[in-house]
Amino acid sequence: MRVEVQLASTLPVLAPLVAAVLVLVLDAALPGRRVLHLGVAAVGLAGGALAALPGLRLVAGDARTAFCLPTGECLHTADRLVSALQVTALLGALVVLVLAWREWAGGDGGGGVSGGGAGGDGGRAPVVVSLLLGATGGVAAVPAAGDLGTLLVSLELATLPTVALVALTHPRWAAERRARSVEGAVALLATSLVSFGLLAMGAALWVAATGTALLGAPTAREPVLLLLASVFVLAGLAFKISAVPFHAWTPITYTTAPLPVTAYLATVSKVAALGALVVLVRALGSVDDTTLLAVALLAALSMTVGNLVALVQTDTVRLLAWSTVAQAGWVLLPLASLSSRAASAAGSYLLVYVVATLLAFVVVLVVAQGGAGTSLEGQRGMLRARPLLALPLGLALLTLAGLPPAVAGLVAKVVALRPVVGDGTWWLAVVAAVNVAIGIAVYLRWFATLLSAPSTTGPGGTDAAGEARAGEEARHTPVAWWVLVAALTTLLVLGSVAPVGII
Amino acid sequence: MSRTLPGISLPDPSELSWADLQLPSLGIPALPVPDLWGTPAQWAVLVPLLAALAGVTLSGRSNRLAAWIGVAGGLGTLAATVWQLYALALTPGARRTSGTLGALPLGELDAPLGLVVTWPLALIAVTVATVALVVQVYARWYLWYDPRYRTFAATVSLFTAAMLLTVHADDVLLLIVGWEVMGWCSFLLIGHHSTKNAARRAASKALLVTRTADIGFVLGLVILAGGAGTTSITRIVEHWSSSATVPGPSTGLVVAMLLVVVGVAGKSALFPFQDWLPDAMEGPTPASALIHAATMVAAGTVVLTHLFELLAVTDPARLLLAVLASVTVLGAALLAFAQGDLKRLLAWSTVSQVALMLAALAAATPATGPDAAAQHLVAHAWFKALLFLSVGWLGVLVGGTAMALVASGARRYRVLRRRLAWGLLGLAGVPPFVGFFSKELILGAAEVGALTTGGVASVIVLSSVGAAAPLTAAYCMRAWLVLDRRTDAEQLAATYHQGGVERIDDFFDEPVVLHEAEGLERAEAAISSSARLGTTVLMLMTLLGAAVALLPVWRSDVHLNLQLLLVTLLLMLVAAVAVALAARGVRTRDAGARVPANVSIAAERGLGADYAYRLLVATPVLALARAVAWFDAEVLDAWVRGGGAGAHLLGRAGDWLTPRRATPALALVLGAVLVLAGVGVVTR
Repeated sequence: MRVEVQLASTLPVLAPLVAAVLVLVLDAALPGRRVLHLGVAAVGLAGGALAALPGLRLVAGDARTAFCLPTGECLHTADRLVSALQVTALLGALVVLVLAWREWAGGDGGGGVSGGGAGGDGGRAPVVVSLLLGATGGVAAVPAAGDLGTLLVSLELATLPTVALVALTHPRWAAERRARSVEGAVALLATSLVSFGLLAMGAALWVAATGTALLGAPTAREPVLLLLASVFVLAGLAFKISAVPFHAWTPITYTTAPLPVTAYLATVSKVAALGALVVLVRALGSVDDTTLLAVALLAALSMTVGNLVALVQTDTVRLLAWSTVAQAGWVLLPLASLSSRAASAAGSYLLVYVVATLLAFVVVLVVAQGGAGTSLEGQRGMLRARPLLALPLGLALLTLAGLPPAVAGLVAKVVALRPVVGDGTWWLAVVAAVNVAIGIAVYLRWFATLLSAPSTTGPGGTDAAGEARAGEEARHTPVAWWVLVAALTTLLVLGSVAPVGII
Repeated sequence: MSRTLPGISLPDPSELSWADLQLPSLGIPALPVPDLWGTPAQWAVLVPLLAALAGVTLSGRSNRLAAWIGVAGGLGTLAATVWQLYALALTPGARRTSGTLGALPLGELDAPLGLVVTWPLALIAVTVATVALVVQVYARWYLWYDPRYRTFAATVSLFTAAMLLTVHADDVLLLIVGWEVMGWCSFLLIGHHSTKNAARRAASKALLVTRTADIGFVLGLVILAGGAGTTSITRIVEHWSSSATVPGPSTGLVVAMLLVVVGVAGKSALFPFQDWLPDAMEGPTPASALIHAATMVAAGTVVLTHLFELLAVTDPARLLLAVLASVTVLGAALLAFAQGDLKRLLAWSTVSQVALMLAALAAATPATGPDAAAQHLVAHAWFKALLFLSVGWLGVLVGGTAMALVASGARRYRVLRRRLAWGLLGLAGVPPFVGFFSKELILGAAEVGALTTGGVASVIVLSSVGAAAPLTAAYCMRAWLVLDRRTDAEQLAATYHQGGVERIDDFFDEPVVLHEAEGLERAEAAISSSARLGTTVLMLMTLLGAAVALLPVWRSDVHLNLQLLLVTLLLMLVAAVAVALAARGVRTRDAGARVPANVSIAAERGLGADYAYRLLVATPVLALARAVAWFDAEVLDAWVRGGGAGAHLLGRAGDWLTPRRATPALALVLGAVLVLAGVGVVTR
């Protein structure tokens, strides 16, 4: 059997993985050069994104392939949507890398004595960097998967390193906090293992039903079996996108992991989940007369539960965790109609969600870095105290809520709803409409906190003290973070001014 | 269009054709006019609009600059409309069209946004521009010390632009824009003294009443435009005329024209919308002159002139218009007679006269055309603007316009005497003043309509116009008798020098002469020379305007019935004499004092129309609004509030139920898989 290998098309996947290997090799050769590792990682991620960029210009029906079998099926297929997902994942990982840069590069986190950095923490940087790169490589590989084997392996590659990332916290953290983060890692690990079991079972059923492990064009010999297989695969994937009722790890892990890792889980990981779902939906879409009520149920449940619980949260990270659950419902929503257009709609929604969520996380991180913590109260009156942070955050929240002036979010919601309405699944459309309202309440509650007058008795103390603190923070906030805020805000504004970037 | 002069061959006296009275047409010399950018119609709308913008933005805190901008804008507008007359005379077919902003991309609806001008429209435009200019000049004097003069001047400019847009519009959209802008400007002008409760109420009332009627106007025009698939009025008229074939007009056309007539009735203060107009007297005098004479109330006439060919073939709409107009003509004339205030008398006379124009449109048939109404519009603009501005001047001198105050005004202030007299003569329709010609033309048109194809609408109009002529003469006579009452000094002189005594004193010792000279001095000192010149122009036009009516540019196929004419004049004379007799023995020579007090009070209150509006419209609407608000706040919002609280509770429950550890999370996952697989298999 001859397999045609075209490495050029797999470059988006290879680049981060090669970088990971390079980091480990470099660490062996030149130990303790943390900035070098981070630089290599950044180059790897950026290179991967650059390599995926030409895929965005593909016309519909055209794809960049690799590992093609003589029968014409390819194990790696990257069309326009897949390339867009890859670019999103790689750039998202780059953003996370920049966010984590100071923590991973700085020896003791406080930025005090530079010489003491080598002790204890010296081994962490190359490990976490290569873990991040490995996970990102897996994420980039998932949507391009053309067979069940590739899908399973790349999914695990995308998941397992994140468990380690959650657990490998800063050595300066309090023991209790580190213990909790291990607890979060365990929750994630346990859920992912169970899910992998389900996924493997689904794959087995799939092979039994279709007689092949290729996802190209399954001929359903056993329709019921195929359906069962799809349900199991879906159940295996649902944990990754945090769909209710597979979401339970999300709030636990999000609140215990370091914030950059949380941002990674909330954005880049979701790309992998959606990528896998897109693969599944495309495979099923070519089978006539199949519907997946399960997707619709998951979407409706996720939205409703996520939004309702997010409504009562008092911590921004927990709120963002539940917001992720709710947004997962929105990402799943168009997939209920199992068509290629629906996959594009879900991809568009995910793109907007990733940008807005990253922006929110960056701002939350900046605020938390200043000592104000991650509580919602800590951000009261931020619009007046720190307008340069509050305005981008407000834009991100409005995007997630789908309210103008953040037209990008609104358009994404309309795009996501269109396949559902086109199918005539009215009950789902009604649930989505109700959730638009609850979602607006969720994000406006946060927005209103930003807008309201700062409380004099709050953690910020008096105004003068708050201003002094703001000045202090401004000096301690790395320029790179400001660049991130500016870049992500620009993306959202551009998407709102001309919402044509939708895939 | 050369015609034989009357007199060379005398026609049959009982059937005098209007064509015989018209002036011969003269060749217009082709002056070397440079090619100017744009058409006069465009400039006529643009110049006052720019003046309004400049007045708001540039004048700052300077009244002087605001006045210059306003007056210069008025002059520019007048120049544009006069240029338009000349351009029209050189245009074969006497019809010019031009565009404005270019066509709007409205999909299937074609919206060219064009302007059109024909002779009647061009003459109306000149009249509007002249009156607006005089009003600007007058306001510069009248409101000089008003802190909000600058706004007023800009609003007058905007108002003029809106009216000229309405006059020139060949597009329903432009028509509605002009119509609505006029409505808002009238709100601003009437409520100019915004610290006065009465002014605010009058402004709101004018806006609400006309706005209510506008519902009909807009709906009617939408039906017309929607049916024709275009907003161009020319094409709308073509479309609906061709569809209105033998069995009569289509239902759509009837409904649309009825709605348009309702809208016009609101703006033109026809019954039952009449009551906003007398209240609009709360505005300053220049605003009243502008609203009453040439613009707002006359806009209805202009619109129906645009749509005349459709109106003429829609008998139900004509009948409705005829009934409303006839009731208004007569009722308003009667009410005018009973008013105790000269300005309110003029206001009611406006209601009556505007109804007369619309009655002329209702009575006209395709054979007679709408020109009689347009002519009366022009004529009415001259004498009504003159009367308002003169009475305003008089009011400044005597401190008010109540009948008791203005008594003897025309004697004490001789400079006002001719202005008031000519204005009243024009209003009454005495030859050779403008009102005479236009009224006779209306009578002639109505008669032709009644005798030919006009049907019952023409008959109603003919009888009401015939009856209105002596009523108009009566209230004009009443006003004149009061104004021309001998002053106390003259009465004393008459009492003490009952002839026989020859005095050869110094001329200036004569108390009457002194009194007269003092009055003249005071009157002239009170007003600015330019404002006085403005009223002089209007006064001259009250007489010379008759020549406009005789221009050969109007349609001339109306035959005048000389007997009818004579009978009308006789009736007017009888009414005037009767009023003069009734006025004998009243101290102020006010025949209105013979009206019983309770009737007089009821008339001043507009026969309780305001109460009726409140009872029949405002109260039910407010009650409905309160009911809806209550329903919204107490019933619908209860659900919303409940939803909010419920969502919060559910959220808390969800938060509480969420597993905090990995083990229950796994149980949840496995349970969910079973359920999903079950659902998947069952729903297969």
